[in-house]
Amino acid sequence: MNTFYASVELLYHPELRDKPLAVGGDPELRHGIVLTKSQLAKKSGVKTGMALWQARQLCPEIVFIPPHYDRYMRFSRMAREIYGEYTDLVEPFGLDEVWADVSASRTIKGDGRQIAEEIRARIKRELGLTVSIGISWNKIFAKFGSDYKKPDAISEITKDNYRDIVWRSPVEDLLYVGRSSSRKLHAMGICTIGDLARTDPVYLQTSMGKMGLILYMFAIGEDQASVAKENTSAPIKSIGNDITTPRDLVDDTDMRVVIYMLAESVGRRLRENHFMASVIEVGIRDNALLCFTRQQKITSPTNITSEIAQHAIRIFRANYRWEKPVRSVTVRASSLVPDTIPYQTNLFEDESARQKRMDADAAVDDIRRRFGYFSVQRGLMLTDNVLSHVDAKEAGTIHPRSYFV
Amino acid sequence: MVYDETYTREKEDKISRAHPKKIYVGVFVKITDEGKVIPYGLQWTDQKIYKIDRILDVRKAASLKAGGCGMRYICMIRGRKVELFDEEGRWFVTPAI
Repeated sequence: MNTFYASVELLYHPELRDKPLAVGGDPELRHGIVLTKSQLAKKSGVKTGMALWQARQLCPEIVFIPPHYDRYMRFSRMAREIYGEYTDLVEPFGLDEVWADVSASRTIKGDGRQIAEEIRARIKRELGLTVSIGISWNKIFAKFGSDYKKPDAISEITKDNYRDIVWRSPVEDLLYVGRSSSRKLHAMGICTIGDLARTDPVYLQTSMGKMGLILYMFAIGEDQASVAKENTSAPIKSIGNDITTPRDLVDDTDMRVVIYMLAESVGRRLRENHFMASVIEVGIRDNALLCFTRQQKITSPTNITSEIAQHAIRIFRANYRWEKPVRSVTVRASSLVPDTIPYQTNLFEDESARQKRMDADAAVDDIRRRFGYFSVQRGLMLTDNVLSHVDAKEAGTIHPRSYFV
Repeated sequence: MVYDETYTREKEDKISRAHPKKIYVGVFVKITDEGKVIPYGLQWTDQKIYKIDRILDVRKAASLKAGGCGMRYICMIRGRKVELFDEEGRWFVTPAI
């Protein structure tokens, strides 16, 4: 879907349709980057990832809208319902992109182009959004095709025309050729995808490792990965939340508030997915944007909010001396085990107290489910209303998954 | 400054005429034994109740005019076509076609 977040916002704000628009975090809370820009804003050079003030410099009349993830999720779901009418092989790539394998529907619904045309028209009529679709025999060229012509377009990459279309394009247009791969490839004199396809794969492997071979296979259209079935998602490996705080953190009290807040979210998500974690990781970024992460194995796996927070605080204290104020914090739980797993109890820990804490967490989860996140709070949160007034779980849990999982 | 102000006001007027706002309304619906939802009346913003005489078309659609998307019912009300949208349980109309 083209400029997905921006298009959804424009649909809901018809009065802004002739203004350049960018969807970006709230500058008041310092989440100041452009997530998506509309076509008009794109023309004035606004790019995804820019700070809001940079975007305003390029395009003074730009309108910023904070993101409404619930809306985007709804549109994403509605679009997937449409794809689902054509095939059960729908693999999402982020919120707004999918691969769909329609080979098996050809006898009923017509060939690839017919189906693509139908989907394009339906999404435009039913959702009011434009899409661009790439049709090909493998996922990589299909993705390439969807980026080839925008917006509201269909590109077909066949075995007859891929040499003309794909191979003439710059190598950066290939999926997974990012900044560093493209630098390496350019140094080898490889500028187009065609150059890459004509290079000896052994040479690519010696200079770029495994990735060289993978990119070579991508370039010649020999990617064999199949489209995953609907609703099969890779198993969760870790659960984490991060936040760029509304103001810089300067002492342990600030840090306690933020870590507890993140732990609330991590703990709740662990419990929702019936996991316990045996490794806790803390990531810190100071106001000079220097960042590091530290992790620690804990004795008995846990999904108790207060335990996660206490471990995280201990890790933080052991590794940070407040040389600089802190700008953003991550708390992550990994080495997940199912919460039904038997574990070795600790002689020096009061297991009945742990059980009580688990019950308390379950009760709080239930209250929050019924009455909202802020209906029940820790006393600690009252020490700083600005820092604590963020529901970390709702605010940030969307990430496109990697191609290689 | 003054120039700017009139400019924006004029411009906004023009836009709001081209894109009339969506108007949320109360709706009377019948739910059949099969779970089908059939609206049969709506309560306008002035509290008056209007009967829906006929439903011409039901389908999922987006309304670019009003800004929204959901199940669209094209209804005849007192000889006029009205687009009635059910967007996640909230109903709105776009002004007559």
